[in-house]
Amino acid sequence: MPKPPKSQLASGQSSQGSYKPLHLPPSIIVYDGPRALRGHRLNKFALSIRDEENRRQFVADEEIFMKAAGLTEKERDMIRRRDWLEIVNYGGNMYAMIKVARALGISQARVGAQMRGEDFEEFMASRPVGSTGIASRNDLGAWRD
Amino acid sequence: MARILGGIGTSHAPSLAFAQDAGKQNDPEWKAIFDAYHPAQEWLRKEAPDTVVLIYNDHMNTFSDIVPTIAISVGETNPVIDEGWGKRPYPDCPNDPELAWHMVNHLVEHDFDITTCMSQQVDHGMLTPIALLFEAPWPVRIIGVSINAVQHPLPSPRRCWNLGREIRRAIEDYTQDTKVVILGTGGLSHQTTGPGFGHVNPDWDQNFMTLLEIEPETLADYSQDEIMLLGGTESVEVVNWICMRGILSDQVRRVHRFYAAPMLTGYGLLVLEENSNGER
Repeated sequence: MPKPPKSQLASGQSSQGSYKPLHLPPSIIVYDGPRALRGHRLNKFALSIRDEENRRQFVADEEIFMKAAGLTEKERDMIRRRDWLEIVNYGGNMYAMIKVARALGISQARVGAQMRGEDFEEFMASRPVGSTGIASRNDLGAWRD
Repeated sequence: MARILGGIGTSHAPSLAFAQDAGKQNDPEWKAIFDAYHPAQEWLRKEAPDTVVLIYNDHMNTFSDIVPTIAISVGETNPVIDEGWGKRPYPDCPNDPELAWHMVNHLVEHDFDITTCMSQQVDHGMLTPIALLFEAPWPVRIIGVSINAVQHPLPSPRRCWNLGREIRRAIEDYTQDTKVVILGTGGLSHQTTGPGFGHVNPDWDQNFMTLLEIEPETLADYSQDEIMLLGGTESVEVVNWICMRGILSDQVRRVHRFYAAPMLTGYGLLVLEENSNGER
């Protein structure tokens, strides 16, 4: 998340009523009803590979397993391309999809770097994260009206 | 009469479990983190609770088609499961169905609509902290209170705080001589979804732990949107800590506090002891 400009609401904002609504930036992808509905097949498929035998079959032949799981061509294609950002925008939940990534030998940090549009090395260079200067709701002025 | 000994807030990140199972406790990158659990383990050994009420969130492992806002384990046992990368070598967690049902009866009577779960599967939300804080065979019974932190709409921090207040009254009303410790697990800041992946905010995490200790109800006024902006989309699970703190009284003593954020998650650990138990 990019660092916002200095807050204009740094003080005098002690009660809930005085806080204006927030604008969530595109970096916040909320897993809500529409995503849960659209992503249902994908998530169900991902959760099914918690079973060791399913995991083995999926890794042995992804296409056959995904077809048997009832995924659409569009959904199969997203998995084929390992396009994690498209997957979570569509409705795949990362708690489910990480099971797929790990079965394929792809670490969470690599999945994440790809969603950020960074090389793995570039992402790792950003760790550990230092001070952000954003310590409370008083510091969220940049995302309010 | 049942007695609440205190509460512990702790991260439940799978990375901690992977490191533990790989025996990395003394590796330079992990040593400080695992050592930080020693004072918490020691406090638990000294206090010797009978039952842990563990406030956590499931991660689509028990609840996916059906997603309850608040669920409580009420069966004999909470089974450890394979989350998709192999089952961890730990025994199932014994539940405390008598206290669990007492809590459910009390909460429903006081307008909390609870989902009861006879076989609440133990995913990393429960097992990471249990395996960090106790040695198997588990010396405690474990009641899982699962708050939905995955599929929006999510319960507000205020709702979770109030749930905690009511769980306290339920436990205080329990006539068995049971010693109870509360765990709140999850967080702190982390984001695993989307282009904001890797969002970590040590400033907020440290402030959160301070507020949780000394001014906890101010956190109930936060919105889930504010928490997502401060701590990342998946950090909404800090409501588990807020609920835990709601179960404790005003009179707590800090036993231990630790924080580190080496990679993807703010690892927080906070041990608060109840000072309100009269003749202890």
